[in-house]
Amino acid sequence: MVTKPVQAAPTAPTQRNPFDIVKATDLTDIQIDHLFVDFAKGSLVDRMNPLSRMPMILFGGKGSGKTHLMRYLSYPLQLSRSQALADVINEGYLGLYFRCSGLNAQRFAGKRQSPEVWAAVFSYYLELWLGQLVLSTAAPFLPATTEQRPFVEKALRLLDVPPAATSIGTGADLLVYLEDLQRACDVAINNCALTHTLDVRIQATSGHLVFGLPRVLAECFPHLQSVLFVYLIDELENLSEAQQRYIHTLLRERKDPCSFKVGVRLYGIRTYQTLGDEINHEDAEYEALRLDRELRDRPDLSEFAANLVSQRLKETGYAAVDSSQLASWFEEFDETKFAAELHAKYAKQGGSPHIHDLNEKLTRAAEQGSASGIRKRDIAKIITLLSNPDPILEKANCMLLYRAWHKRTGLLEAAESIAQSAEVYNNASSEDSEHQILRHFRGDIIAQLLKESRLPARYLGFKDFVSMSSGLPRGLLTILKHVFTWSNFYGEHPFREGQISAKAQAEGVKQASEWFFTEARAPGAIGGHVREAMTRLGQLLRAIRFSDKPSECSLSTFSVDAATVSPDALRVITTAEDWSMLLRVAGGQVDRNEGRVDDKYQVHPMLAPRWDLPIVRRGALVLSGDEANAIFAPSSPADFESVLRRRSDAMNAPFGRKGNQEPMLPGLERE
Amino acid sequence: MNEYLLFYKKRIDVKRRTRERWDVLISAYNSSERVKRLHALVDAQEKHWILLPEYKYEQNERPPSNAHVGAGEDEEVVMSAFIDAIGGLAGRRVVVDITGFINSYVIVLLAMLGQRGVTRVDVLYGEPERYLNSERTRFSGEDVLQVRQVFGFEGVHTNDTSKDLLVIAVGYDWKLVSEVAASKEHAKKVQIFGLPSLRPDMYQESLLRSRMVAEALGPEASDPRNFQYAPASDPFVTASVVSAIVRGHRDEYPRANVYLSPLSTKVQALGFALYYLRECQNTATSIIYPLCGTYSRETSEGLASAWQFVVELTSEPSQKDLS
Repeated sequence: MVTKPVQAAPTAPTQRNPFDIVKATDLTDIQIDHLFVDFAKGSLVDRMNPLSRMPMILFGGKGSGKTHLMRYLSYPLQLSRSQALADVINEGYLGLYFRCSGLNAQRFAGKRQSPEVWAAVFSYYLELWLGQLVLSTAAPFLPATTEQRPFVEKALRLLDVPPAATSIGTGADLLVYLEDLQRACDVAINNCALTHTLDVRIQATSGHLVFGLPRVLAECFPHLQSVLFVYLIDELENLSEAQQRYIHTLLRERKDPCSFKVGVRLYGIRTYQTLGDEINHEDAEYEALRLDRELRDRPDLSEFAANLVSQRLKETGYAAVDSSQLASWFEEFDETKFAAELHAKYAKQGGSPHIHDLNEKLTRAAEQGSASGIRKRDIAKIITLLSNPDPILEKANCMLLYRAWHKRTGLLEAAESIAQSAEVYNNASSEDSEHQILRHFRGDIIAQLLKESRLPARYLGFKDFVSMSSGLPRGLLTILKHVFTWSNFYGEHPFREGQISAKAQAEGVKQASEWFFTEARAPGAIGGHVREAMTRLGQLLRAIRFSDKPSECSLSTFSVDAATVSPDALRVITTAEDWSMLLRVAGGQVDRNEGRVDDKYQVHPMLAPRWDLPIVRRGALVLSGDEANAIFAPSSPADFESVLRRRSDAMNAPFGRKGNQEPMLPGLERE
Repeated sequence: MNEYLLFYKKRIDVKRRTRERWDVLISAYNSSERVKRLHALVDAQEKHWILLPEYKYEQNERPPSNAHVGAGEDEEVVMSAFIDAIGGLAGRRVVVDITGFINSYVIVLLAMLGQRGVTRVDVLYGEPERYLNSERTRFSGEDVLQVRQVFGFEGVHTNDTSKDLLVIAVGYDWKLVSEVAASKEHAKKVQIFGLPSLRPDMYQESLLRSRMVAEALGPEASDPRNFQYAPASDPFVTASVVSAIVRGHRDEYPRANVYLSPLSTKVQALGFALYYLRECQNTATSIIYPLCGTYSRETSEGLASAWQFVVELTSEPSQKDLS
């Protein structure tokens, strides 16, 4: 693992929250440098490959680390990790970083001007902007001002209308001149809002400055001859479709000694078309790096995350925290302690809620099932057979009985078989066929036990937090930020003394999940639709997870045949994916009957605590097109309520059966 | 001396017709009682309603007379057509009641009046007795379409974005604050709270709402020690506070880009616009605003009091005493 050496780190531990700053945009250049962490094998910097001439588009969800990575490659950071300017040149590239949000690109529209006019003005404006970026970044590498004139003369010839004045003799003069041109452009655009006339005289053809200035620099100054000028264009999502076409044109028409790395959110690419209507294709005109997916799929993600966190801690004075020992600072889930906690609760309330619930359901079904009723003593016997001192095993027994009920197996016989199986499991600590359920449903059973005893869901420990963040470092840092705050609030000394309690972790995780739900929100009306749809999806998955007989274990995923889904629902699903509320599962879901591969999505694990869902992905709920429409674009609230009721009834005793239509209590004789 | 303190303001008696008489009254129609009452109280030769498209009033919901139905793709188009419909304003005594306006329209209108030769405009604002749902009052719809610069208030920005500053006057609409903060994610952020607030409980309520956006604003801006304050009902002190904040930042970083976003009262929006017109034109400063598809027509109850502000659109404030 490669980490930056710590410089000037505070030595004394402080109470300051080491995770207060979670956005790279809030970090100074020095902090970017100090907090940068990379993978030992297949480093992210290598993946970015700043020396490559092939343009790259860096995709990533909010908080995936795009900005941190791009700024790390920028000139100020190159300089800060070098001893001298020559070292920067020796790296073989100059990183020219800028944010598209700084362009305030929305103003290049409307104001009673045609889109064509705005496209031309925007191209010109960006030309001036990038020209200044090249000149200001290259300034430290230029020779004495007296030797700059040949360069300036060549550079001025890049303009369509060279200035009449001859006072421009240095790079600094040229920079001021471009600033003045940009300023004139700004004033004209601003005045246009009220005067309705756009008085801009375009003085540079597209690409002339962007590609020309680096070329002229390389031609005039031998020490820059082998330097690649890498434009690091961040936040492309802030540009409109027409404006992105200009960027795509630059990518397609790239000229030496220039290259591009373009950072964009998952939803942010509006087109791949150039101004000449050609389409840029991946691996032809650009290569792509999908950062959050890349991080998610890395086998050494945990190690990377631990280093990321321990670097933060070191920077804020927690020098004793070793990345390999990080997990030990967090209280983990302890089944023995948990069982004791439940026993104490059961003792107070006169038994376990699940046994009480089962008893009630059996009794109610017996009363409603037939005129003659059932033999009460059988119910009592069943309860006795299923009861167990181990709450997890007892709960598993109940789940197995509900399965038997659903299958219409004789319940008394089923209970006897379950009890035997439990005994074997208990004595031999092995799993016979019936108690396979504990291998797959253990997490769900524990979640159900917590819920029925009104205890908070357990998302505990560093490993869980890394899983929750799911390729979004900002997600991990935000969880830790809130956990740290709550730990302090409870009078603990996080990362200094003792462990961070389960309750502090539970509160912190809950808050981080709410943050994610608020932050990962698309703008406009569609953002509201996505939130509502995610809430419905969460409700449905939760209802199934906490049902008597969940159909799938660790349910946080659904699949659907996209061809059967309405365009409105598809749009909501796509937007939810673009905004990281849903994660598309690679490979999809193979339909067992038809062999078709359906789309498959997981609820982002950061959202799991919102609906008490698991953070791991195992089973998948297969949705019909109608069900997906009811969740993602219902025509009325009743659509979803109907789906929820139907699905829920099918998984909760008496499994949708009423009266004498079906045997409600299979195998139990009616008296 | 702080030049904004030379501007004049006074309270208006809301129990009787105004003593002053104007040539033209401009009001934006909405369903709040204070908007209608203030419109009735003003003594003016001509009274004009503008129906802002965001309120989405149907034909049968419109006021009976002198109502101009605003339509167009942006504030400039809407207001420009409205002002054209009223006719020449230069040389006439103009009063604008901003109570029913949306902040971005207040800002555009001020610039437009100056551009049309109005050198002085009296601005009225009616304070509510209370907002309908206290701190949960929603002023805008769910659908923020985009955050952009307000036309005519777009700066001349530099390409060094490392020291950008975003100054937000925060109100109840925390979602708008969040959207604006996200649009300038990299900028240092400063919150201005309305204090004194319009009513005693409103400051506490806006503090409650601001906790909802602490994540979006970042730790520095959310630290109460860094909060800034300006009276919710005084545009001139607001302008002065914004001026001091920006000056402080620019003293340290002369080339910094500055973004101003008035999301609180219309009076504070007026203060932001006034500051901009006097100090920021053709500098690296913009006013940005989150544009929504819809806005609430009725957010408050009653008319507690009203203010009159005299805004000079020339370079120096008038010395005339209103009292």
